Amino acid sequence: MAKDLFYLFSLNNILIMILIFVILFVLIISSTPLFEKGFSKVVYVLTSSIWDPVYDRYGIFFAIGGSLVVALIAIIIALILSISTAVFIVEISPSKIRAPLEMMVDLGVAVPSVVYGLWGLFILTPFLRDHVMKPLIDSIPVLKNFLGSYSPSGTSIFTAGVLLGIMIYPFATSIIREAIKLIPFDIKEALYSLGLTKWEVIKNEIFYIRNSILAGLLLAFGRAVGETVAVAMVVGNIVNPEFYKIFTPGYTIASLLANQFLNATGIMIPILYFAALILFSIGFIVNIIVALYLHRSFHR
Amino acid sequence: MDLRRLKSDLMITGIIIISLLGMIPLIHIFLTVAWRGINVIARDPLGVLFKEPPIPGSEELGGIGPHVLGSLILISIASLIGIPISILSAIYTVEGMSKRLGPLTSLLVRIMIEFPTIVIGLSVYGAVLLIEEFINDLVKIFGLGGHIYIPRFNPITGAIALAIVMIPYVYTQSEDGFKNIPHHIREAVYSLGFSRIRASIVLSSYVKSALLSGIMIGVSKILSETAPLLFTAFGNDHYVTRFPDVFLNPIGSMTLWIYKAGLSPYDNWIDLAWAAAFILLMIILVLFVISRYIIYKR
Repeated sequence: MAKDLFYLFSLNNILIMILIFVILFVLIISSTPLFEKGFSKVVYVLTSSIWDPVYDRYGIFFAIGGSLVVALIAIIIALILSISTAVFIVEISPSKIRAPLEMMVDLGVAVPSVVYGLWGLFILTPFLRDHVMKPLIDSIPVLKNFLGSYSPSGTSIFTAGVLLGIMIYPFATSIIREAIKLIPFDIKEALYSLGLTKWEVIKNEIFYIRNSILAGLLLAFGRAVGETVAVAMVVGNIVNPEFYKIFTPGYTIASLLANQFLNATGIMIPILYFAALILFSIGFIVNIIVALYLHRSFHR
Repeated sequence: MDLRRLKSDLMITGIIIISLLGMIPLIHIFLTVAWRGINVIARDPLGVLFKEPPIPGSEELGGIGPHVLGSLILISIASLIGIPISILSAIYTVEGMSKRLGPLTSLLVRIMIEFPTIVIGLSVYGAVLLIEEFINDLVKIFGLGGHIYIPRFNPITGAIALAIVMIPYVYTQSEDGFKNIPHHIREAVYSLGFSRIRASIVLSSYVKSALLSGIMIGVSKILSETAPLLFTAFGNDHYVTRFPDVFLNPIGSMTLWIYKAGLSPYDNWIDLAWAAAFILLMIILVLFVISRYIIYKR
């Protein structure tokens, strides 16, 4: 009998693990020049908002903050839109338009992020500037102190958050939709047999699938933090220590990398690798949580 | 009037309004890209597909030929690297019945699927720099003199970055396909006394629709990626024709062009960005419909 060479297939599995290891290894090795400067330097980079190539002083707090604020806005929008859309598709819509609706949402997942970016730059940005930011600031001038004044082009952290929300909600919708479909029929029957109204049934169903919603949101958050080009096209790309004033232009970690990495010299290079490492860690932690604790509840 | 009924009706109406509001941007994107894209392409269909982009400031329309070709080259090489690795490792995970390696791959790949793609591009770029440094250290140790330079921006690094993006998508689909093979079929195949390799080949043809749809999803994912190419393929507005040069020079892709031209101040570049977006969306739509059809038939 010929020797079974099947075990050679495992080389591919090992290769995949090596790839993941190499990605992490390269990021860590390439940011060591920063670590060698000592712990206080790392803390300084993490907590200050300076981008000063002349004196070679950099702190990426503005980008970390920008990423989190953009992702937060996106998550809030995606949460509202995805739960409503999923419920609408499965429970409310007439069965004739259900398939086309599902298809459109799934297509929304497939649209390239750079196409979202192009649309965001030419359609969404002017729209939000003229119909949301301008009226809001003009009618309630006090808001300027909290939201900041918008730029003439309209690019801002707020715009990026809204675009990202539109981008990730189809993805969150598909996860929540599958979860609603997987609710056992007995439970639906039991809910209706209690004499509950349609809304009360839906409320209970949403409670029943809360783990899937959480998983969907976490995964969407991971995507939102890591998204690069669509955000880089509408966020404004300006070093902005007051990133919490959402109508002002800013930076996210990913857009900072996209815009600055190829111009970087000296200590800026390891600092950008370090920023990438942070980005990587955020995604990694989110996905470990989902994979270990929530995976079973929405993937069989 | 029943208050609970009223509240229910109000909330349901609210849900319908919100979900319709959410649909508006999606529909708007499809219509805008189609409208603007078709208008640009209609001006010179063949030129848009094959010509090089116009130099900045000129009035002519030009085309996105190098970027269409670049996308094709990048995706072909990435598929050649990524598809065998992912399918073979999925086979090993399911058919190999290993206690550790299989489940570990399964878990790590599901984490890998959400890696920020720009980090993957950055890592490939960094890896090229580290390899170059290592080789030059060796050169110095052996006293050979001279400096070895590895081109950072070329189709190979771009394709490697794309393959890393692609692997988890193809892998998860293939793994699910193999896991769903009914027990009696697997038993029947193995009872014929095949080696595990031949059994895997037979089982692969049984789940070929899952493998195909995985490949479709993987290809359409890397077709729409920009971020991993920023530091690897870099983008190139011109055709590179001579043989070795193709693999040593930067290469364009449609997504990189949309990113660059969309942010540029030139009207004809922006027009071409919409045209590229339309072409890209059409290809993705076709892949989407095919993969849907395969899943539906299954």
